[in-house]
Amino acid sequence: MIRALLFKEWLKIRWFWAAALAIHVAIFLRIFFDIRGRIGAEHAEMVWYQTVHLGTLLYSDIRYLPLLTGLVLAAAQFIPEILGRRLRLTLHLPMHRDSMLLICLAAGLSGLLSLCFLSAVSIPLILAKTFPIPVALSSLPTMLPWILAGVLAYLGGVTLLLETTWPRRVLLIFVFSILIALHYSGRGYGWLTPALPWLIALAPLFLAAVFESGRRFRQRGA
Amino acid sequence: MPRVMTRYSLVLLTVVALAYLMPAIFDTVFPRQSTNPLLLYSPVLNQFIYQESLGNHQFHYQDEAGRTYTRSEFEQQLPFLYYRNLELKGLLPPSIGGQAFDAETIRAERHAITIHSRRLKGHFPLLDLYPLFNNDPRVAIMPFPEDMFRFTDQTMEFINADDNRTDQELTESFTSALQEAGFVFPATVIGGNPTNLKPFDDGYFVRDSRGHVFHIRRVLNQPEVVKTSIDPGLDILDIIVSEHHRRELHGTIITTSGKVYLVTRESYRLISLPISGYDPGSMDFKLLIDPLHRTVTISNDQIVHGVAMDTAYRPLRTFTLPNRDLTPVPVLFLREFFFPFEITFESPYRSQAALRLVSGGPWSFAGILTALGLSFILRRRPPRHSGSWNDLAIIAMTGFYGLAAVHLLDET
Repeated sequence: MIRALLFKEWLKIRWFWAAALAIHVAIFLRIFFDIRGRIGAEHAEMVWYQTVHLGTLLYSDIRYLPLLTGLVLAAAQFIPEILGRRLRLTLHLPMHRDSMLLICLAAGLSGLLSLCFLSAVSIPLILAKTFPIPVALSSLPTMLPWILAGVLAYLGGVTLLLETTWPRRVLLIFVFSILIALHYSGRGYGWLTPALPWLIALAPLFLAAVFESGRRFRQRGA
Repeated sequence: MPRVMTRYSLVLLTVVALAYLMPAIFDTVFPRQSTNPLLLYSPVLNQFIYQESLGNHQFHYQDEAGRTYTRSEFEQQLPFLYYRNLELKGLLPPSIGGQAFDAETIRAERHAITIHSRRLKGHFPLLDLYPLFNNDPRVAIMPFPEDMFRFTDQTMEFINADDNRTDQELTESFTSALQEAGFVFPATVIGGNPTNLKPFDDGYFVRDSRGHVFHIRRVLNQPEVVKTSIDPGLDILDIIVSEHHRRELHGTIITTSGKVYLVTRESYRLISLPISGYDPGSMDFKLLIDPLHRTVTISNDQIVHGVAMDTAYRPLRTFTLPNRDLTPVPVLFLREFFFPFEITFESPYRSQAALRLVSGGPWSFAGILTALGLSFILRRRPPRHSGSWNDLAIIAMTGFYGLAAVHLLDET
């Protein structure tokens, strides 16, 4: 049944995932050509100086990509279920509610994290063509908070869609927006690196929030 | 997942979000104000004189003895700092401390070194890649080199920016020069100015794995490496190179224990500055050099402490001034009352995220008790089940944040 559920979730998100993949690839290409253009327009050593000592991020175009991808995948998975009242049926399958939700989340998170993994490989590779290895590697801790923001946006989006009352939905939007905005603090590379363990610790709390909304969804018979 | 876990995860997320956002909003609406003193040594009075902010762009000027001054009078006590203004107004004194100085002499003899804690090693994200400028007397401007260097475990590696490849020739040349000078890889501290906005280039000071400090320059594209006499036992935190036209100093050494040494151009002799209580992790440092005195000030958000010295860096006078909080008492009360703690990523002493849980103050306890009382009123009944007691425990620990979280997330 797990495979069937995962397949069902994949069917729901596949076209959105493919579109997100195409956008990711387009942005990687844009970053690649932007860097090439800069190196052509200025002396390479000046671009190095701007990147290493002035903290210019040449890959900031992908900053909000995980966030938007997370929200789109959450919407693609859960809006049809809720509008068509199909989630109620799913939650009545002979499997614990939380396990059922976890499988749905695993499908969505796999889609999101596969694209994030692509970013985590592509951006350092693009940078390594023009910059020394330390610069390429510094992009990983810089991008990690953006990836975490994508995961939280996905989990937060699912929580909001499962929530049944508007006052609580508004409160959750407020709380999630603040916590996700935290991941975009600072400037330059590695600004948030010392806080990464704390940011990572938010993910399990967001996951628990999904289960709380799932419980309320089932109890209210939505 | 048990309901208690899912519910209190949401409560915790709400408390964290509120503790991060609400104090920041409060501070935007009611900005904190302090006197933010500027402490200087007057060669006219032979004592410290200072400027304090009163808010709304108003300032108060006073000396150690308590005499107050107008802005114009304040500037006249500091002729080495405000010599341009005084010269324009015809107020530059004919002699200072018994000696005559014209504006040109003053300009030539002034030098300021400012070291902000947030720019010290470990306090900001840093990639150890540096440009080593070529010292070529035939070139008037200082062009950026086409390469950057980094220290690996065994080499001083130069990477060319045009092809992003190691420049083998330069790498071997500098690595050999370092080894011949006795450098033991890897480097542990690297200090230098990676900018060409300076009057000349003094290269880099690099501490090796044995603690010896080497001075590395690039002269006519060849390495010039000097093993300095700087004590290898110093617990060097950072080396700040300051290229200044006076050419008295190479720069400043800050140690982890808060000692500050000036590196002179006289065979790298160190001058130990007579300051105590300096914590490089949480204080800013400033050295002002003028024709008659050297003045060090160290400051944090609580105090500013000054030491005036003669030209041989012997202490003459010290003075400590508090940085007084001018925020109106009702504002401070409200802040403590409503916010028993705050979560912040910002620190005045770091240019990188530093997650801090900052506690409120004595009035926070009153706020917590009020929040608990409000919780009883909102429930309209005493707590009966464990969930209610848990909620009260949350409010007792987090005050109004917890009150808002548990009631807004109440099932009913």
